Amino acid sequence: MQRDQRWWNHAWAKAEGLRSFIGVPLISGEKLVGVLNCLSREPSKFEEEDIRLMEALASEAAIALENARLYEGVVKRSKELAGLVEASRRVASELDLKQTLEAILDEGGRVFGTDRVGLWFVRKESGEVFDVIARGLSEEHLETIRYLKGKTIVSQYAQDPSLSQPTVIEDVSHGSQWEHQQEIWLREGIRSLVVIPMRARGETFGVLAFYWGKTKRFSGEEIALGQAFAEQAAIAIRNAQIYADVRPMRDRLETLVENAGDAIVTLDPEGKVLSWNPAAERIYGYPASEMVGETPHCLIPEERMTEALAIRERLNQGKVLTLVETERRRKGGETFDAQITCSPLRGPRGEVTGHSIITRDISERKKIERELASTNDELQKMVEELHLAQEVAIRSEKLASIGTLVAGVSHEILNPINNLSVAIQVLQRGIVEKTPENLSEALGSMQEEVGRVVKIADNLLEFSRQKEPRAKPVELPHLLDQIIDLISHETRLENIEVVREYAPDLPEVLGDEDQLRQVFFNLIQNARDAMPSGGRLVLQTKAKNGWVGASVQDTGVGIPREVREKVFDPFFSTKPEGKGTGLGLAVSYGIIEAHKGNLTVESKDGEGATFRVELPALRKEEGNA
Amino acid sequence: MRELQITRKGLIKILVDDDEPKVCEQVKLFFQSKGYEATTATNGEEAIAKLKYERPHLVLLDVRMPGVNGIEVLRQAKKLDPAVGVIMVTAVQDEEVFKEALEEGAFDYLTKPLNLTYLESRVSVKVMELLEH
Repeated sequence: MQRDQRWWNHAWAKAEGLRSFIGVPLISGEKLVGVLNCLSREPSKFEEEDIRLMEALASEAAIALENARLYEGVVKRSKELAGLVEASRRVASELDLKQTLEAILDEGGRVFGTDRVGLWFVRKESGEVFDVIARGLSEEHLETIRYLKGKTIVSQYAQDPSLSQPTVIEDVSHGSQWEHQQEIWLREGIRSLVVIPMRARGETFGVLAFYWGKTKRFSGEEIALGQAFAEQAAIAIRNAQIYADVRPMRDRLETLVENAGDAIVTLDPEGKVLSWNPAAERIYGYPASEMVGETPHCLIPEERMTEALAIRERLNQGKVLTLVETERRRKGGETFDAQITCSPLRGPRGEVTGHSIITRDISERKKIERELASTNDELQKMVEELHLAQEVAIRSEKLASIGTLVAGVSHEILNPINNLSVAIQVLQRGIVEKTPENLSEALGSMQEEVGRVVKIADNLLEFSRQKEPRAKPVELPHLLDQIIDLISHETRLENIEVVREYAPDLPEVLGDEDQLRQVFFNLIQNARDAMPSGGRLVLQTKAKNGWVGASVQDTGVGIPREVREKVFDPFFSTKPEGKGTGLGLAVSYGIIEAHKGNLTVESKDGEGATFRVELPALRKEEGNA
Repeated sequence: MRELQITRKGLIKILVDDDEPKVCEQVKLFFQSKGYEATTATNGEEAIAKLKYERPHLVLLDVRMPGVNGIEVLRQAKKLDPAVGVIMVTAVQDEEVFKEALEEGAFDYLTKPLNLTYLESRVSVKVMELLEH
């Protein structure tokens, strides 16, 4: 060794007095992994044999070393993989976006043995950082990187979508294209870093960056591990984002289902209940706890079973059934009218994963429909009956007016009868001397009384005569006078001042005299009844534009608005029970209508009422014909 | 209380009130022939005036009259003289009016045509009562 210049400068060899050296390389595979040395203080100590022995030893040692190194590598790698799997699992288990990001930072840092991790989110094209979440980095650093906008490692990935390889900087102070960031990193105490893009659908939406405070060498395996983790992280972030987007919609849908008025039920492909909303509980009467997991045959009445199977068949073919009207059964057995809408539920690949069934309870609606139909039938029948009754009513109303008339008329007949009777009794008893003069006077007076009775009878007959309706010219003033004459027998009319305001040369009207008499008799009687303590009864006639008007006006109590609207309704009466038929004005209205005329009323509460009849005037030539 | 002491039929005064003047006259003649003093009125107002100024002991009162009706006259008559005897007369029997008349103090209720014999018997009964007092 003293002669070999490779050892001259080695002080330790001199100090030890070393003279001989054998060195054999340790070669594993094709690679030199080390050297096996043997040293001695004696010169030329080693023989050829020693060299062969050393070579054999070196060969064995190299194999053992390589095995140990390989083993260590496998253990380390499997540990790393297990860490990655665990980290990925944790990251993926989060659904909330914020928690997902936190988990990525925590787990990523753990996998790579650093507490400095950053998640940077960038805008496409501009590469601007719009959000960052980090561990172990100062706010100032984050702000500075943000401020650099499109000129950072982070932003290059956003600007160039084809860029998918990580950026590895093992020592920030040694030449890279990112020298302008060197200051910033050093100030933050960063000496090495790895930046891995996170991609979704071929676009980079952010980067995952790991930082260390010392220079560091990274193996290809470590980088691959980082990429694998970043890929998982990207998926987790996308999922969390989708979940965040979908969640409000899902919440809304859930609220809708919860609060729906219709029963909303989902079934699996076997027809077992998956979900059962509160309306289903209400409509069917079964709580969700009794139905979920069950096949809901109990909801279908036997006679609807075939139909239900047909519906099921169509659903399985993926068809939608809308608003099918059928029957369903509640808990307790009561069937009800239901309207159902069924549609298949589909999985992500369009496969049928079950059915949704919406049931609306339409029993109330059906009931109302049925009632309406039967009410309509009844109405039809009533209308027919009404038509028949109308003619009968005209006649019966006439009889009814005769009834009231009779009570009044009896009085009037009995007065002359009383006069006659008393006169006869006085004569019989010889109270008055039976001289020819006295007798003549008495008989004359009695004849007058008989005449009174006859006149009343005549009027009654005229009124009550049943005649075929016959149109002939009628003079309304004459008709009104006749009626006044007829009812003036009733003493009550004597408190009433009858005022006639007849227009001169009034045209006649064409009509049935009896029916028109009935109308005016009715109006005058009502006017009289409205003035129990007396008043003025004004009868007025006038002609205008081919019409003849006749009005009956009283100064009585008047007709309140709400009554006025109903006065022409049949059976509406304000008179005491038994005093009015409630038909008088209704029948009068019908009669005037049949004469193509109008019957109207004007009144103010407390200021009397005026009933006005308008009839087409009879033209001269018609009257003469 | 009535001050006048009734001792004879001739002092009994009857008021006949009916809106038929003829029957009033005939009935007045009838009562006069029976020895009573009789007077007439042909409506309610006139009857009330005569009740006030002529103080009849008995009144024959038609229910149905123009103006103040018979029931109202009855009420006034009883107010003026609670002892006055009133017979109501009506053409048609009416249960309600009949009840009302009795409640107001009428002592009888006759229907037309009048039977003079019956009328006199009812009047006599009342006169006996009056004479006893």
